[in-house]
Amino acid sequence: MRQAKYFRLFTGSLILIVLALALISCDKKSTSPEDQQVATPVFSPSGGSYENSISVLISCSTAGATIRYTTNGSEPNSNSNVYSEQISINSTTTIKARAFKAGWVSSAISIAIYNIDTVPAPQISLIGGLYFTAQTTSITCAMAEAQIRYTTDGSTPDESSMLYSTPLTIDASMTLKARAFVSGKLPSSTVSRIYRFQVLPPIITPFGGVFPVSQTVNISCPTAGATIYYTVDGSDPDAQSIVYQGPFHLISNTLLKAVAMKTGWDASLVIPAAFQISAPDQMVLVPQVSFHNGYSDVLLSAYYISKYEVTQFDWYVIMLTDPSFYPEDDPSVYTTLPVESISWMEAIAYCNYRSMTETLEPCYTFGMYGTDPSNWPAGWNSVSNNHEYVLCNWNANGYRLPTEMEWMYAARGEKFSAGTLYSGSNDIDEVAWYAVNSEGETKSIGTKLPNEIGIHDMSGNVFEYCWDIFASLPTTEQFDPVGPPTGVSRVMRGGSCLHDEANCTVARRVSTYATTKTNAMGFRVARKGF
Amino acid sequence: MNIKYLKAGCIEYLYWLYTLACIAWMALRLLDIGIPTGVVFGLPFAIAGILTATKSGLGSFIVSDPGADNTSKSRSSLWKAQIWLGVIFSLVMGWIIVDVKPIAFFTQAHNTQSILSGIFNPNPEQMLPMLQALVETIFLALLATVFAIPFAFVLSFGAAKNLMFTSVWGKLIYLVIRTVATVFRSIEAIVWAIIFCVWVGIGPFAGMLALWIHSIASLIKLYSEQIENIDPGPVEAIKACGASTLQVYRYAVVPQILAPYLAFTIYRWDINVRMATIVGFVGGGGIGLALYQQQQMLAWRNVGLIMWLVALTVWVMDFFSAYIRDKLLTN
Repeated sequence: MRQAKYFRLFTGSLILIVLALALISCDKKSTSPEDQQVATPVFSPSGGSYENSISVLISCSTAGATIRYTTNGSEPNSNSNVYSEQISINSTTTIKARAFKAGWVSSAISIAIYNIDTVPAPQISLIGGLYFTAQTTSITCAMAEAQIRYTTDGSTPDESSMLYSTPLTIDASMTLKARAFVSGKLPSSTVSRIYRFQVLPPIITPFGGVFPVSQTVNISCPTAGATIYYTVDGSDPDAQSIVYQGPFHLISNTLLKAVAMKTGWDASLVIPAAFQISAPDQMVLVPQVSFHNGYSDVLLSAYYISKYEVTQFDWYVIMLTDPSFYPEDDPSVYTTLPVESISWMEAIAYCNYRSMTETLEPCYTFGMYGTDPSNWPAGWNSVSNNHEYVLCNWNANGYRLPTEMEWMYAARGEKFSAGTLYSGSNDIDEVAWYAVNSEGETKSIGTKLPNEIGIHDMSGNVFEYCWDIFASLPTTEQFDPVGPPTGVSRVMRGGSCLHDEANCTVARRVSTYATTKTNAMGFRVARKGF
Repeated sequence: MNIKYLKAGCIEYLYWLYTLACIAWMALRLLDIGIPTGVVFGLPFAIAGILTATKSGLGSFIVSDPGADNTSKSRSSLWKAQIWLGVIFSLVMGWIIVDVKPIAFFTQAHNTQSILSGIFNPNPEQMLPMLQALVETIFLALLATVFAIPFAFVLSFGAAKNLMFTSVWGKLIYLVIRTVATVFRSIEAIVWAIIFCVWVGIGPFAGMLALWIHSIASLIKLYSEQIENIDPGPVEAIKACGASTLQVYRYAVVPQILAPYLAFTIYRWDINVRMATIVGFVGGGGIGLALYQQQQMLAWRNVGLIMWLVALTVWVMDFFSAYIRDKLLTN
């Protein structure tokens, strides 16, 4: 029975405890928020004005609370910086702090404003960004006695950095950082600006296009001190490309691309310019070459030379005369037979008249009588010695006679080392009308094979006038030789339909008085190649 | 007597050497048979020895005194046969070497048709430039002659034997001037023209220099021979009066030579006009160069024109030069 009494006592106690615990728990649930909010953080020292940098301590009376703070003026939230150690304050700063604890209401925001008496930050007048020309900037500081120091290499300025005195010239990409110092005060915060400089795009003149003759190309860059690189093969130019050093010549279809670079600057945009250059009608371009003519090395600038000898028709169109002897039985103008029975002097006149017709600059002047042969004195072309008064402007783009070396190189063909005896072949019958196969008369131009560069009848058909005065060929290296300045006769080359094979070789040279003419003497025209 | 044998032997050897060389050459050329060198050089030696010993050959005949021993000459007429043999061999050799082609000469005349028709049908359209060239030629000949006169005149005294052979120095001067003049004269004007074309460039000036130097050399010879032919009387007379060398030249020599000098000079101009054409061929300017160029161009009508112009000029020059010389020499 006693056992039952203990059991009842134990059970009753147990129920009481359970009831008590239930009461306690009910009581807890009904607790008000004010009672469970985390305490507001406290700053030490409190906000105010200070002469020097300080360390701020933030504390919270609620144990286990996490303090979060901001220094940029925003409300602290659960993502803000966690306070873990003293905050060092070097400049005027507003700190906002709040304490958090799980299950607790977060504390109110505590605000402290610390006025630290530092030097004011300097002002850089030039805003950062991309520039195409050199700039100047000034750096000012509100505090007049402040020394402004700056760096351009990205490092933070200190008291040994460069001292600002006069406005800076900014002409390269850089990061400019400035800071003001006053002794006894904290230096200002660092102000930085990032500048980038880019070279202006090069200017190509002419800026591409379709041209009947080769072009002299000029590239300039408005950015002073920039180096221009270019390519002519269509690839983008870089610092390994050709350096532009002066006007150059484009003689065939070319995609030119240019870029300008400067140390410390970004490279300019790549500027392309397309040139479509067509060779003059019925002419071939001979590029700049050097070759050995048997006596000396000869260097020639590029030139155009006609594929064909000047025909009777070509002559008639310009001169309105038909001097030619062939064909013997029919005196009419033949479109395909080479013109002959004209003197060297008359060939000169033809060149100028043709240049004028095609509005090109005539090459030849006679004494001081200008370039228009109709203004030249009567009888100018009937006195042999007058030939020395004919002067050639080698820079003019009009028609002219080839020089002897231009003729010789064109006759040899491009691959001089494999040069043939006659122009285009060692078998004269393939390429030339000469005494054996011509029946003693001129034949239609272009009816024999051309030579390597597409020129017909250099050997045979008619002898061709060259510009040069006849003399022994020089034995020293020649650059664009034009023959001696004085002499009695002019050079002819190439043999004719009346002559044997020995006269039709590319090396054979004969002379003629400038006023004489025979039915074996004609010419072809050339033009400068740039 | 022994030296005569040696001479006769040498002549005989050279004769047979020549004959055998001819035979050997013809054998090689015509029959393609090579005769050994030893035979060509050795056999004549043997033949010469025999003939000399028997005094019957050509050598002995040449060496023997005329009229001394007629019997030996009449005894052998081998030398006559030798001469005939030599002449015949020489003619045959010449015929082969010169490559005489009588058939071509008589049958291929038509090849010259274009040239001849051109020459006899000159091209009047080229008259103006060709006349300019001709004038150039005449004047370059004139200048060459005129510029040659003073040099030749002065030097001709040094090349006259009768004036210079009075002292050793005179002989030396005579020798030097004569030698140089002979050498310069023997170098053809065309060669001088080639030299001067390189020197001063192609043109009439080079031609003038070529004719000038050749004229000096020629006139020295003509002038000095004229001096050598003067009458010594006036010279001796004026020397006897105590005249200096210069006075002798001035008053005894010059009056005697002036007229022939003028005649020779004009003759030389005449020659120079003709030579100027030739000189022009190698770059000496004038009509010769034109002729060369036109001939190169196979422009036979122009060549014909030039040829007739030159012929006319030379004929006129010849006529006047002869007339003037005649007047000078006879008056």
